[in-house]
Formats: sequence, structure tokens, C-alpha cells
Amino acid sequence: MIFLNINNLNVSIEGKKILNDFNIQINEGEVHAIMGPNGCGKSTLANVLAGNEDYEINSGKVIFKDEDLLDLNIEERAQKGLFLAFQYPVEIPGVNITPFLQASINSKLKNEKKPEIDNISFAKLLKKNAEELGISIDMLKRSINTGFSGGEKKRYEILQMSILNPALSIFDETDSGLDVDALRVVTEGINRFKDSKKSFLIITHYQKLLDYIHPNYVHVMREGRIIKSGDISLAAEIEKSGYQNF
Amino acid sequence: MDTETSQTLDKYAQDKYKYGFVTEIESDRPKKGLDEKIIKFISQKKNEPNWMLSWRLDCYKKWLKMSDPKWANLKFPRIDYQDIYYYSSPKGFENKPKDLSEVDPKLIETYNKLGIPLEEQKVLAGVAVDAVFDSVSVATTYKGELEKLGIVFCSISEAVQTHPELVKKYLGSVIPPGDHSFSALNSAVFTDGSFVYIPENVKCPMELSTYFRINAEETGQFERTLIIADKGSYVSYLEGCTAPQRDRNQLHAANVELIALENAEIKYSTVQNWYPGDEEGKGGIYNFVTKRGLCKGKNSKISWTQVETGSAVTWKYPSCILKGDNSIGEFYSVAITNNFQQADTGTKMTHIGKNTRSKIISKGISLGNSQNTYRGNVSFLRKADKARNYTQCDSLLVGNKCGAHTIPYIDSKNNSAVVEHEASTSKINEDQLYYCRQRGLSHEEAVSLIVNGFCKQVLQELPMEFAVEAQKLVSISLEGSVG
Amino acid sequence: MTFENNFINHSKDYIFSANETLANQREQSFRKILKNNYDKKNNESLKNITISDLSKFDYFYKYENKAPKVSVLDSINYEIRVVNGMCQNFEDDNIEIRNLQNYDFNSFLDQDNNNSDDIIIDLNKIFLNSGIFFNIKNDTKLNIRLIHDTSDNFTVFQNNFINFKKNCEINFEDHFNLSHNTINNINYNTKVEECAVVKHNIFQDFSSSNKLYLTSNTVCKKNSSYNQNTYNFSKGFVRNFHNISLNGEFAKASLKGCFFLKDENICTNKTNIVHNAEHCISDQTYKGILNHNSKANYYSNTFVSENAQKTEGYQLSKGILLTDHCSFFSKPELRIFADDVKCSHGSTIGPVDETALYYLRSRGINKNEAMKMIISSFIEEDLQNLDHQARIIISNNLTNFLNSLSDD
Repeated sequence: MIFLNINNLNVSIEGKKILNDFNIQINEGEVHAIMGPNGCGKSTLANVLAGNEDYEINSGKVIFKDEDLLDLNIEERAQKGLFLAFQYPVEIPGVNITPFLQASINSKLKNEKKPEIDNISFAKLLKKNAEELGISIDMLKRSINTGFSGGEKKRYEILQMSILNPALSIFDETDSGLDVDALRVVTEGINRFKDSKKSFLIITHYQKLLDYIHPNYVHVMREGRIIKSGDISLAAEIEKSGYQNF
Repeated sequence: MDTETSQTLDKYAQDKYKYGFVTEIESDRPKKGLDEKIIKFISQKKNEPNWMLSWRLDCYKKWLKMSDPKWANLKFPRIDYQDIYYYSSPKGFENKPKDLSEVDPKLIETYNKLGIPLEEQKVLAGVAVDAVFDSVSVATTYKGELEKLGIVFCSISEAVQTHPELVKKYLGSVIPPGDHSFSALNSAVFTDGSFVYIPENVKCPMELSTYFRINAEETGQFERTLIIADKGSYVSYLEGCTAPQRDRNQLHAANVELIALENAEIKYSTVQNWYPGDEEGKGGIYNFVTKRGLCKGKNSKISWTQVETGSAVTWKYPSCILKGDNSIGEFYSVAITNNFQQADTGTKMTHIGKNTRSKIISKGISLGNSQNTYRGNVSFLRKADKARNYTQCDSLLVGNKCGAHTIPYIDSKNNSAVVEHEASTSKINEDQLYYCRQRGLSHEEAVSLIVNGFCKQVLQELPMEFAVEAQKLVSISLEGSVG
Repeated sequence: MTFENNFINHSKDYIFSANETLANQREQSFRKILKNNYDKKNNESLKNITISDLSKFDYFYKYENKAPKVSVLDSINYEIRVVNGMCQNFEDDNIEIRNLQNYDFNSFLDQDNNNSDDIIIDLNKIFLNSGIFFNIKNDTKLNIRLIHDTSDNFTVFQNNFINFKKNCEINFEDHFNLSHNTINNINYNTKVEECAVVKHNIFQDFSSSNKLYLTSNTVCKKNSSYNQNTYNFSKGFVRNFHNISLNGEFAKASLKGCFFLKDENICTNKTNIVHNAEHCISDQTYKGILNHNSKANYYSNTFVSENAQKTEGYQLSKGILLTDHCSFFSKPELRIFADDVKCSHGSTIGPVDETALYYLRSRGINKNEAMKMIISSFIEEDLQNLDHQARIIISNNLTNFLNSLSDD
């Protein structure tokens, strides 16, 4: 099975080219990190994979679990097991977390032709996962991301990931705006969730996040494409001397 | 709007107005048109005492001199008051049936279809219902139980007979018949409606509810509701309304008066789902309703909650006169307009007493070719020391053929009073849609979820039994918008 | 004198009678006013306006010797002194100014404010006795100071046309040097052409026997920006009514008003902003501080037409009431026909913030000083873009106003 293969992808927004013959291959169970300076197209990559309609795909192919990902709309990709942890999770006032997440998991189960989860089992699952992540039950009674601190929002993204159980999780600069403690909680959540079946694409500007997560591969991105790939030592090199050497 | 949003909304279109059926029942009605004779006829049908008839006739004379209010942001043809039936009752209703065995089974069936069973063994738990069909009250449930507490819950026609002193004292005391033409008209020709009296220090143990149904064609419905909460009492009242699908517009001009005495609280909720007309704007109800509450005593409280989804034209401003010191007025509203619907709705909070407080939360959603206006008036009179108002009104636009308008009037004549008003207008947030869909929800589910979230502050004010129903109604009302 | 008599008397002296269009407009406006019979209920422009002020005022106008003058102070600073509605005709590389004569008006009438149910604009047409054309040429960068000088008992009904041509950058200031018992009904028809940037500061501070009705009708073209700041310290009656049409994409308009009222004074601010093109921004802030028996009204209407997508429209009004006898009426309307918009309004009216007052007093500041500090801070943010000279004017006026608080 081809898990994720991006082949010569070209993407633009309002006529401006952002991804430029972009290529990457991710296999099941691998953790990849993409690093790059501001404006290199990292976040665009994350949003294009999730199906954000603001971007224009000019050419290229994306295969996800043997299927053409670009043929699917946003929710179909999600139902197929693609999860994007947003850089800035949006607030949705008035929409309660619990029923939202239940509707979300049921859409995935329905797509997989599995029976939907009932209220009681869902409440149990949610409580268990929330406790593991140190999320209080009170927080589950609130509206989505509304009035959450930066750390709370990110933690809530991790909780959703743990419930939805995606095959591919994309983290879009999850470390931005987090202090050291919050970063530790978030990365612990990711590490707990990692196993041989799950893959990750971690997009970040700094090395710090990678110190906790230990990716298998590190890629450096500039001007819309990967210019160098290597292991974790590449991240250390960037931390030391910046992006200008690439 | 992106094509997907419009497709989603098109899907809702398949969910048609489900209360549009007609009950085939013979009705008893005089000729069309309005004159003194008709008023005498109505009064006679109701077996009214003389004082009631002369009150009606006085109001009729006032009405003759008045013209319809013009300030609302609404367009509709002039109403021909001589082309309307002013009274219609199902045959055999000369006297109100003593029990359901005397009621035409077709009527009972109608209410079953509307989800309002009237039979003893099936009645809604915890809700007492007064069912009004065209011009008459069909049945009132739970009457006996309420009587034990001294609560009077009956049709207003009955109350004129059984509690004339209360009716005389309070009818027209909050909405003077000369206030505007619709109130004068209603006062002259009102046919039925509910009367509630809660005695001192009684907390009404169940929801009281009236269900209005317009059935007969070309018939106006003019109901009159009067609720009096005596000192220290509490009542929660809910009103529901539907009408069959008809090509011609029908007029509904109700008056609702609430009086809260010292330490009393009245909570009045409306789920208005009159027939809104079809996709081309044909037919539907003209809903010209005057609702006003008087917080007469100290520490009293009146709270209006409305979910307005129906009617071709809505003209409605549930208001509070905050006369008693420390009294509280609240207004929570969701108004959804679609297709060619027009709504001009809002509230009026008049602060007279010291330390009075009011809160207004209004959520307007416009779709299709509709026009949705919030109109609200907050005034602090000279003596309203330390009065407070908070107003928040938000509008959501879906599609670029509709309009959303916000027209607040704020008048402060007291320097210790504080008014805060906030309003916003925007379209559905694309980032929110994206977020929900990234979590696997369909576009359709996402829109419905976000709109319900937008309305939540209001929906959560509804009694539990109706909140779920109202949520569904909100989703259904998003039908058939083209982008 | 009655309105009808005024009209008849004035007819003889009507200097523009040779211009048929103007004469017809005059006639029509007169009939309209008579027909509507000053219907206060249906015409908001009349709220708190004494009908007798409109109908029974004494119309007085004659030509005076006192010379209007245009002074070029240096390469970028111009001072224009308008006397009883008349200016000195002047032209250089930067600007052209001239008094409008009979048929001159015709070239500008398409720019004229005809939209209204507003009785004050009708009166302007009826008693019209002057009009100035200002042409600010392409690419000029100037500071223009315009002083309206009105002599005792004079009645000025002026209809002006200003064109800010492409790419100009102008600071335009209006000052009112009104004598006694004057009535000033001044209308500006302003065109802000592509990429022009205009800052328009209006200072209103005159004595109680004067009345000012200032109306403007501004059209903003593509990429232009119009920023108006009005500061009203006057003891006389003021009615400001500003219409803005954003007709070109990416145009911006900002309207700010600060008013300080005392005694029996009445001030009405009315705005009407029409978004006709995409990507335009409008922003309004009106703040008032009311003392004694004064009254303030704020009417605002933001209209977003169907094709004005990506509009941003903001309104804010704030009032502080200092006594039991003043009152503030506010009606901030939004009428929106396009869906992709961000519009909002906010309105607050109340006393001086008690907790702030308490805090300051607990630090040993006496009540009067504390009040002054709070009131100064209330408008501080609206003064930030002013130049030094303007700040001095504001600050002197503010000090006077604040000192009057402690007199009570």
C-alpha cells in the first residue's frame, strides 16, 4: 500500500506560487518533520493536504492509502484518517465540545461502515482520554476553543486526535505560542499516541519540539520544496546556524 | 457563498413545512368584513357581558380613526380589512365542550399530528396546554390539577365569565387599545386566547402552554392573552403556532399582556412557526403581534424568549415596562428568515424604576431573498437611577440576495444609568466550517452546528421540553437558499 | 419674521435667480417644506431642532467691505479667510479657489447633494447666498486652513464644491470665527479622487448666539482615503450631517467626532455612509460629554449595497452624562445587503466610571482633578493624529470645559 506519496505538487494562492514541484513519501508508522523559515510553504502544505479550498492545485499528485487524495473533499479526507492539528484552532462559540466530537467520530465510523458509538460509551472514552491528557471534565462542557488559552487549545487538539484515531496526523506549528510546560504536555500526548501503524508529519520552525518527539526523518523546506533531508542531526544543525546555509 | 454552502442549503429545502396540512372540518363563520355588527356577533357568540361589548366597540371606534404603523422595514400590500373573516369556529362549538368526548375527533387528530396530544392518557408530561383552533379554545389540559393550587388557566372567553374583576382591571392596562392600529383592532375583535392568573406566592409547577392553529381560509386570528402573576409567584408560559399552507396571505394580529406584581416572575417563550409562504413568496401569515409586559411591582421580572422562523411578514416587539424598582426585563430572540420572508422584530425596554435592569440578546439569520431587521428601543427615564441595559445583537448573512439590518434606538435621560450596546453582522465563518469539516463533519452538519451554536445563548433560555424541538426547527429553517 | 415672508423678501434679492435650475430647486424646496408642515414625527432631522429657528429666523445678508483673503504662508501652508460666505478668487499651481456665480453652479450640480429628506438642505437651497469652488490639484501636498468669518447678525447659506484631485495629500481645517447672532448653513460637496488622501479637521467653538448647520456630501473614489475629525466645543447650536459614499474599490473613510456640551446646548451628529464598492472600510467614532441640561443626538446609518462585498464597517458611540438633566439619544443603524462583510457597532452611555474615580481618589487626587483626568483620557486616543497647533486648540478648549465642571 502506498501510504502517502506527494509527487511534483504545485500549488498557488491568488496567482502566487507557493509549492513548487514538492515531493515527499511517508510510510506507515513513520514520523517526519518539516522545518523551514517563515514563508517557505510549510503551512500551505498542511492545509493543502487537509483540503483547504483557498488554495489552487496547479499540478501534481497526492496518493493517500492508495487513493487520489485530491479527489476528496475536506470531510472525506478526515473520515479516511487524515487529521490536521491547526496552528490557530478557531473558536466556535455555542458549539459544545462533547457532541461535536461525538458527531465527528461517528462520521468516521459511518464512513468505515462500522456501528456508531452510543452516548454512554463515548462519554467513557472521552473521560478516559481527557484524564490521560490532564484535561479537566469542566473543560469538556465548554464551547469549542472558546476562551481557551493557547496551551488549552493545543491540548484539546491532541484530545481530538486521540479520540479520532487517525492514520496520518499533521501538526502545523503546534509549538508556536506554547511555553515549555505546555509543550511537554502536548508532546507527551503525541508520544503516548504513537505506534507502528500511525504516521506523523510535524511542521515546525524550531528544533525544540523535535527534541521531545524524535522524528525518523527531518526535511528542510525552502521556496516551496524540500531542499535537504536527513535525520535528527539536521535539526540540530539548523538550530546552530539558522536556515541561511541551506 | 461557495457552491458547496448553497448545495448544502438546497438539501435543507427538501425538508418542507410539515405543518401545512388542512383539517377538513366544517366551520361556522359570519360574513367577511368588519363593522359593529360583527363585533356584536363575536361578543354574543362568547356570551359576553355588556361592559365587554362596549369596550370592544370603543376600541373599534378608535381603530377607525387610525392608520397602520409605517415605520417598520417591511413591504407588503395594504391589508383589506373588509376581505377577512373575523370569526371562525369548528361546527358545534356554541359551548365549549366539557370534555374531549364532545370534541370532534378530527380536531383531536389535528393536534396529535402537530405533536400536541390532548387526550388525558397521552398529554405531555409537565406541560398544561390550551389548544386554540381558529377563533376558539378547543381544550385545556391539566386544568384540575392547576385549580388545586388556585391557578387559573383557561381561555380568555371563559375568564370574562368567571373572573370578570381581573379581566376588567388588567385587560388593556399594559397595551392601551389606542397604542397603534393593530392593538386597537385586536381589542375590538379578539376571539380567543389564554388567561392565566397565578395567586400570591405560588410557583406554577408545570409549563403552561397555548397552541395556536389557524385552519380556516381567509380568516384572521386575533387572539388575546393575559397573564397576571401575583406577588411572589412564578410561571413559565409557552406559545406555539402553525398554520396550513395556503396561497393567500392570512392575518394574525395578537395582543399579549403580562403583569408581574411584587417579586413575581413571568417567563414567556414563543416558538413561532406560522406558514412562511412558498419559495416564490406566495402565501404565508402576516404576523403583527403586540406583546408587552409590565413589571409593576418591586423586584419583579419578565423574560421573553422567541424563536421566530415562520410567517411571511413578522412585525413583533415583545417589550417590558420596568416600573417597579429593581425589576428585570429580558429579551432573547432568534429570528430566521428565508426565501421572501420579511421580519422586523426586536424589543422595547422602558426603564422607569430605580435600579431596573434589562438584557437583550438577539440573533438574526438571513437567507435567500429575505429581509431581517432588528429594531430595539432602550430608554432610561429621568428617575431610572442606576438602571442598566446590556444589548447584544448579531446577524448572520447567508447569500448575497438577502439583507440584515440593525436599528437600535438608545435614549438616556439619567446620568447614573448605563447602557451598553454591541452589534455585529457577518457571514458564516469559513474558518469554522473548515475546522468542523477537517474533523469529518459534512458541510451540511457543519452549517447546522455553527448556526445552532450562534443561537445557543437564546435557545438555552427555552424550557427543556422545547429546546430540542427549537434546535431542529433552526436547522430546518435553513432550507432552500441559493447563493 | 415668518418663513413665508422670509422667502418672499429673499426672492427679490436672490442672487442666483438668473440660473433657472437653482431657481427651480429653490421653489421646489420651499413647497416641500410647506407641504410637510415640519412633520417632526416622520423627519428625524427635525428632532431637537426648534421649528421657529428654521421658519422664523431673520434672514440678513448684504455685501460688506471686509475683505476675504487667501494667504500663502509658505510653500505648503495656506490660509483662506472666507467672510460672510465669500472668498478671494485665487489660483496657483496647487489650488484654485473662486466664488461661484450664477451659471458656474451648473458645472457642479451633478455633484450636489440632492438625496435628502433633510429640511436643512432644503433651506440651504432656498436661501442660498454664496458658494465657493475649491480645486485641489493633482499630486499637491498642502495644509489648508479655512476660516469662516461671519459678521454680526449675518445669515450665511453656502453651497461649496471641493475637488481633491488624484494623489493629493491634504490637511484641510475648518475654523468658525462667528460673531453674534449668526446663522450658518454650510454645505460641502466633496469629491475625493483616486489615491487622494484627505485629513479634514473641523473645529467648532463659538458663542451661544450662533447656530451652525454643517452638511457634507463626500464621494470617495478608488484607493482614496478621507478622514474627518470634528471637535465641538461651541456653546451655540450645532448640527453636523455627513454623507459619505465609498464608490471606488479600496476606499477608506473615517469619521470621528468629539463633543463637549453644557448649559442648554444641543448637538446633533448625523452620519450616512454608503458602501457601493468592494473592499472599502468605514470607521466611525463619536464621543460626547454632556453637562448641565445639554442634549446630544447621534444618528448613524451604514448602508452596504449588494455588490459591496468584503466591506468592513464599524461604528462606535460613547456618551458620558455628568448631570441628571442632560440626555443622549443614539440610533446607530446598519443596513446590509452583501454577505461577505464585517460590520459592527457599539454604543455606551453612562456616568463617569465610578471605579476609576474611586481608584484615583484613593490615591489622593481630589474629585475634580480625578474627573478631569478621566474625561481627558476618554478622548485622548482621538487626538493622537492631530498636529501641534490643533492639539493646542483642543487642549485649551478642553481645559475651559473641564474648569467649568468645577464651577458647579
